[in-house]
Amino acid sequence: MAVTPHDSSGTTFTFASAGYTVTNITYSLTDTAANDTIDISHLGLTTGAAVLSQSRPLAGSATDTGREVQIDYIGNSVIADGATGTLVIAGGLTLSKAATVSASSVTLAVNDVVKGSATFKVAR
Amino acid sequence: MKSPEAVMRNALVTTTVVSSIVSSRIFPLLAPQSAALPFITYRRSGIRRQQTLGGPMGVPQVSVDFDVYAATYEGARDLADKVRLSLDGYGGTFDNAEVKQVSLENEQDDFVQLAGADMPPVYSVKLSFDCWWQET
Repeated sequence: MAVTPHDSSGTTFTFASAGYTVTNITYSLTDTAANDTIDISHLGLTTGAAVLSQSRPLAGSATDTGREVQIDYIGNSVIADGATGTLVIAGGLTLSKAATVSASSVTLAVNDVVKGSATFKVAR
Repeated sequence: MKSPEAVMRNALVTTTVVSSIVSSRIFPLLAPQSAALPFITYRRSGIRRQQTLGGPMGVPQVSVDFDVYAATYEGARDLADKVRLSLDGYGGTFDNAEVKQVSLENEQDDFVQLAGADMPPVYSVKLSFDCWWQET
């Protein structure tokens, strides 16, 4: 029997042993080793000629894992940028990896609860 | 029973500028026919709950209407203004229930015929408040 996608309710998120009341989680994976090319077409090409391309001359950062987790949460705790720890997601998605905070923000607004947002660079 | 309405009612009853006019005549939904003017009724008109991935947030935003009734237009407006000053921006605790960030969202004047055989027409002002309530 086919497995239906989880509705994501009951999903929990912890970072460095601290739990957060999350409203949104996005887990992004990018293959840093994938071939990527740049367009080197020029005005000397005739109409209808094929686009010219070549591999990028520079490789990406050696520390770029290509994996990121972005969360939105409710609460007035600020997740410090540069903080490291184990990131654990359980429920709709299962993940337990070392992670570093690459960006973090908290928003206080009239007529709304305190909301935060954070982006983590996650180990492969 | 914990409720944000009870917290807001208590805030009015314990505010001298309001209680000196209506005493404790602040009723949920309906006022008894024996209630003397002026008086106030209140009712919940809506609630917005926010969900999280882990479950309900537990801090809904509640809308509560306070209807002020008085024999004269000036009396209704004066009492409504005192209710506004007491509740707009209010935050507090009563009977282990906590309310935060009460905000006055709308006011509406009216002239109504109260139910009952010999009740006179009265002036009223509806004050619509939103507040955050720690539900759990």
